[in-house]
Amino acid sequence: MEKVNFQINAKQYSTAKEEKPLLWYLRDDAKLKGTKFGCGKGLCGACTVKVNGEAVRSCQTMLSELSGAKVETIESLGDNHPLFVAWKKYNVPQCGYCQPGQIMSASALLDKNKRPTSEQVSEHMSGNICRCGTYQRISNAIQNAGVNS
Amino acid sequence: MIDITSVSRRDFLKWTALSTSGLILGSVGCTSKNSNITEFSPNLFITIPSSGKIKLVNHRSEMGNGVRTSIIMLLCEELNVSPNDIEIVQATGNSKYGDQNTDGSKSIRLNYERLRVMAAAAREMIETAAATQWGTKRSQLKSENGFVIYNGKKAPYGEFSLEASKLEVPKAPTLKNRSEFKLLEKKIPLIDGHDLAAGKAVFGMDVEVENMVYACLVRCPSVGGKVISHDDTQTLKVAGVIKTIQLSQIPNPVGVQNAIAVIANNTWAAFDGAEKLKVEWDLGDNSKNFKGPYEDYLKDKLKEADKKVHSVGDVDKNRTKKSVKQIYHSPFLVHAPMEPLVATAHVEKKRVKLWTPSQDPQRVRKSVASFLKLPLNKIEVNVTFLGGGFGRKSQADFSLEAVALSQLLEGPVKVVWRREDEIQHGFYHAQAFQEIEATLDSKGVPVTWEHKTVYPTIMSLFIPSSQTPAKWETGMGATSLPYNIPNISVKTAKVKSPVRIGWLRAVCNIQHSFAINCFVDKLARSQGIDPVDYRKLILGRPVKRKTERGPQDTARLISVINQCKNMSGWKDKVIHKKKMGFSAHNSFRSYIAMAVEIEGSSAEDVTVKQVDVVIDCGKFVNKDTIIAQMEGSVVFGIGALFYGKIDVVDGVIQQSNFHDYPVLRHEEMPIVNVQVVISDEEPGGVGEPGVPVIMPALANAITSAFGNEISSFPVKA
Ligand code: FES
Ligand code: FES
Repeated sequence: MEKVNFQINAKQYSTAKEEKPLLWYLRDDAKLKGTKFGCGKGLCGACTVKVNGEAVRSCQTMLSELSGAKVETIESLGDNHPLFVAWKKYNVPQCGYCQPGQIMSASALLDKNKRPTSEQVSEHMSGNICRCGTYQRISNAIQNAGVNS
Repeated sequence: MIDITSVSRRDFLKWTALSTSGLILGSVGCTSKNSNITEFSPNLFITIPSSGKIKLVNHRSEMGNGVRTSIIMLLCEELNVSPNDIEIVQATGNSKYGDQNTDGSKSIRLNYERLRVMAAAAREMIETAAATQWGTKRSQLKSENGFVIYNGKKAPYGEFSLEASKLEVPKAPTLKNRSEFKLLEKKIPLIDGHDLAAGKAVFGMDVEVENMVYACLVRCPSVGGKVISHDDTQTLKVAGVIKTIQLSQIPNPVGVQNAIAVIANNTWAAFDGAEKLKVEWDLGDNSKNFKGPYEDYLKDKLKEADKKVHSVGDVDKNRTKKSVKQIYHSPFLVHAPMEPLVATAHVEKKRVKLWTPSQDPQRVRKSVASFLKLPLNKIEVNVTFLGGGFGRKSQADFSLEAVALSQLLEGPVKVVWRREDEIQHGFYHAQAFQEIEATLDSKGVPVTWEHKTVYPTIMSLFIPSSQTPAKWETGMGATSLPYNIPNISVKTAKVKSPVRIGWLRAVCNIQHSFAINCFVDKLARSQGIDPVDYRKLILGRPVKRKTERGPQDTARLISVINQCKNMSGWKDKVIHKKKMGFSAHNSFRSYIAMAVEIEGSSAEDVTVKQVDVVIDCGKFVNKDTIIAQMEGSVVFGIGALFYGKIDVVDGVIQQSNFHDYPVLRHEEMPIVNVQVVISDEEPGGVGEPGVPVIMPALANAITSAFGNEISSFPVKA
């Protein structure tokens, strides 16, 4: 079978070029379990990772599309990343299940715009559901992380 | 869930000590009389080794409730150690810990005193041992951050643990006063906060055991239906699929449905294989007996509501001519925790291991034991982090599916539910129809109050013949009306349901508080009185009364109403024609009032701008967790009021994922301000009681802003 080569968190991976969502490759094959499964339909954002710097839903991103891509997951962020520092300051997580996806979406936003308005934050983050309702703290944390990064 | 067992101090202060490595303190018995003494293990809750970290046990399920932090705070406060210096051990499901069912907002209520007493006793023993060693009295030394300090000397607790373990356990250790608290009632960040944010916490979904296979189940769309035939030709062509296997129903209350399981060597193959499976179902009696929308059936039952479940005074003799009446409807709701259901099981010859995001690991353990006919002590239930629960993960079905499959496959298996499975195979919050009629005196105060409330009961899960709500269900709001009305009657009717009914965050308080708070607003409107003032008018003088689910003190409700009125600037905002709504409710021994400000021009385009919350939950543990739970309840409740709706047609669920079961999103988030009342009353719950307050407050805001009365939800569907 044809192969596809790409990077995950700066490490090289090579696998069969199949119609399999990146989400399940990350979780079951690469054993990177920080990326979560919430809906499988691109509706919740729990599976958000960055591909070539853009936030994408890994449940909707097929391995076959990843030739030469740079994938970044929650595991790529160091423990002292400004987003983690801000997340701690605002004590954001409740159950925590959506949080890696939230943080990867936030990271993609801050890459482009370190001072997003609250409207820009809302708009950018609205693909990421938090069933526990941590949105207010997420907003505060993102704006704080932007200022401090 | 149904009741909380009151625990006397003596019951749980059965200590045991002694080990060679250090002080180990334990308790037995706790809440359940049938605690199995053969399971008794001495090292419960607190282990202080001679060297190394102090180990503290958390026995409740962490699902966003912050309970791992709260339980540890209770222990650390009296032990005088920092939560950052200890190791948390997550308890397996075992009755030796006492109640572990993390449901009913009772983790703190059951443990507030119990754990503090255990920790204070341990600290006193360490201090006594240190005093003996240093030739002084316990009163002369102090303990701080895991060290005993005296006269320039400072030594870690571990140095005294061997000696301490030989001492008598103090019967009544002294607990701290509020003024001495270092942790309790402060805002303490979650101990697991970073692990959760960084994706390092292990959820049920993240469990892997050696040689396990993955299973995705195609379950019968109706409860109790059967497989007629299935075709797995396309399924078996999927790379990674190993085989398909039929799984038989396990009856309620476990409630495993007839299904075909697709077994694969990775999750995606199992999902893909399940997608390609063709099954012909006999949908069974539930489908035949409930033709068409269930809503039509239930609506008719309201007319049959003549079974009196509660009565005060005499309604029939005291009706006045001034009558107000309204019918309320609330739909089936589903939990939709962010982590769909999942469980991993390994059934070995005479032993079972389970890893499950369960809210109720003891229930799972018992269900597995009776299913496999094994003794309880052969079953180990490991509780992972839960990606949300909201009551769904109190059920045992998903854990038992994994056990049943592991038995058939003779190896470890992880059963992963897709979102669609979670939405369509739930234990739903019951759809309800209600009617409230009141007659008023000349001042507009109700003289009679007649409440008809009709919905399928959760008890039908346990006793199939149950058709009317249990007392503890009507006790969630309907029979615990806080208003001072001399003549009250509450009536229900017999109702069946084709779907399973379960607990969902705040349970029957949802429908009851919705109807009651909307109706109180309707009465206020009919009298041209401000809804906040009207609530105070009909609450009248404060009373303390017994209700089905515990004591009610309306002074506390009046107080949160007053505080919320002030905090929200209600008067000013009303004068300035802001679009406002109000509501207040007492549940799970807590008292909450909320004021809601909305924007928009109709129910369809309404957005919530701000919510002001005042909560009196008695003595509390982590202030920030209470605030977070109020924020979360507001989001959960607005989502339900705007969009929440599960349709049941021919006994089959019509919704499937977040596109047709929407929940609140980031862009819809209001500003939420929370005020927590400092109180000396017994602890109340916080995880659930916010939900039944926000929903009618928002409905009332919409009604008063746009004129079209909201008596049914969802309002945006
Ligand atoms: S799992 Fe990918 S968007 Fe929900
Ligand atoms: S923290 Fe639980 S879903 Fe977001």
